[in-house]
Amino acid sequence: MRALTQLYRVVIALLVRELKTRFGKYRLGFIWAFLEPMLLMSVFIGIRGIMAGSIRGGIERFIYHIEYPLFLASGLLPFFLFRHSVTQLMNTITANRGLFAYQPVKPIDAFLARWFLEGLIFIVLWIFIFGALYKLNFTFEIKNPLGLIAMYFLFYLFSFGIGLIFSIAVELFDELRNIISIIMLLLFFLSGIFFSILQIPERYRIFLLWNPVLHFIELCRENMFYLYEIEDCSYLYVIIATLVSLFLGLSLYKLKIHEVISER
Amino acid sequence: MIELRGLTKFYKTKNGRHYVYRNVNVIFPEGKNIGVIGPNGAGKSTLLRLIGKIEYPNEGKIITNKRISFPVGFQGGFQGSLTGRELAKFVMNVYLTDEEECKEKIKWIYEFTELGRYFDMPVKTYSTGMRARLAFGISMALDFDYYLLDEVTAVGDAEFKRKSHHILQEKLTKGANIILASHSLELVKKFCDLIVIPYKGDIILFTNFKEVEEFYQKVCFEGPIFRENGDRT
Repeated sequence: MRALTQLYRVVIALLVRELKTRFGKYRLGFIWAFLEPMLLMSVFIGIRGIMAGSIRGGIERFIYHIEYPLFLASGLLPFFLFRHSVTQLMNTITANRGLFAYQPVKPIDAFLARWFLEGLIFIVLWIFIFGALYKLNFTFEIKNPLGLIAMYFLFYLFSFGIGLIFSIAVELFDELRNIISIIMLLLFFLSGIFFSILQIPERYRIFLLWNPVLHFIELCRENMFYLYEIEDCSYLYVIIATLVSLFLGLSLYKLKIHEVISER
Repeated sequence: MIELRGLTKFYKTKNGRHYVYRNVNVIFPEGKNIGVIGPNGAGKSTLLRLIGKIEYPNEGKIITNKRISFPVGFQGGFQGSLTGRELAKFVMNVYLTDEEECKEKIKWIYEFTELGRYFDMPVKTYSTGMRARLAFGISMALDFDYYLLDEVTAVGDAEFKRKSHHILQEKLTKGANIILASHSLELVKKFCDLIVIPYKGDIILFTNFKEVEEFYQKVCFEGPIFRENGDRT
């Protein structure tokens, strides 16, 4: 019990400091968190529009019964949750190294604080984006709200594991930073954010279906929209991916964290 | 009591491992103030960082049931973008449960460190002396069994020096102890009962200042320590 209140206190203190440094002075971090998805959505809608001959064509296009802006938002937002969690976790050790001098502050507290913050930002962003779309008359009824929340949470857990793995990995081998940013870029294009796996010819799907992030995103959509059924994506696969990432992340943490924070 | 058991610490360098400590076994007895002396690079700061659990040994362990402070020195322990006040608040929140107590301590730190308006400016704008003063103030605001001090007692003007020696003395009479790393034998003599000298990967413990002086003269000022620590041709 004491350990829990201690953990809570330290995580809250770290969260406050994180808010101060990220959003405090310039507020740019906060604005960017909203601007980035809106910008990307406009770009993709614009591209669709050019292909269709008019901007209206971009907006009014349907992908498997889903209006394109809704389709985009339903893929982009969880992907941002993933990418931001992973990159924030990846830099946790470097950003907080000075604070590990204080014995009650354990590295895992700093990881948790950053992870919570990304979760909070996701919730605010989700309400903001879908609220704005609703105002613009892109309305829909969530098919399975509980299932959707469960999928988001699973994806969030998966991101925590991957973030832990990457953070230890880049501290041990700094060169990995470049490779990871390339992986993130590839995942952006390969994870079904602006296309559906259903649009891919069946014999090529196997080349995309190794990617658990695509499964997460498509399954989020499946729980979100009526008439959107994905048979290629598997709940079992995402559950296993989450367990493996958490197991690997926590093991690496346990085994290597002392070595990592000892390096200067 | 602090016990170092089978402690080994090395750093990886281009030319392989550089051992700072190799299988060290020492017990720092209860209720003694310990001075750590030696030239630069001998491993004074490393010892403090190991005891303060900022770094971890490659082998062996450090056993203690005491509350040990973070090492107070010219560097480390800082998040540059925070202001002095924010950092003080963070540390108090992390160590203490009572909100009121935190506020009082922060006020005390503000007055003690004499940072004035710098207290509300980012720590990265501080001079090294100011950083040390802040770290010292934050450390002294909290109650520990052992305070780890790395060269900092010589910070600031004469008035601040007097003030910090005064508060240290106060802590000592209350039953706390210090582990003080320093170049200066004089300072160590003033506060410490035991002297520890890192030497050739081991730690030598002295109780007699006369012996220390002889050893220190012989070892440090004739200067073979670096060569024997480093390459072994």
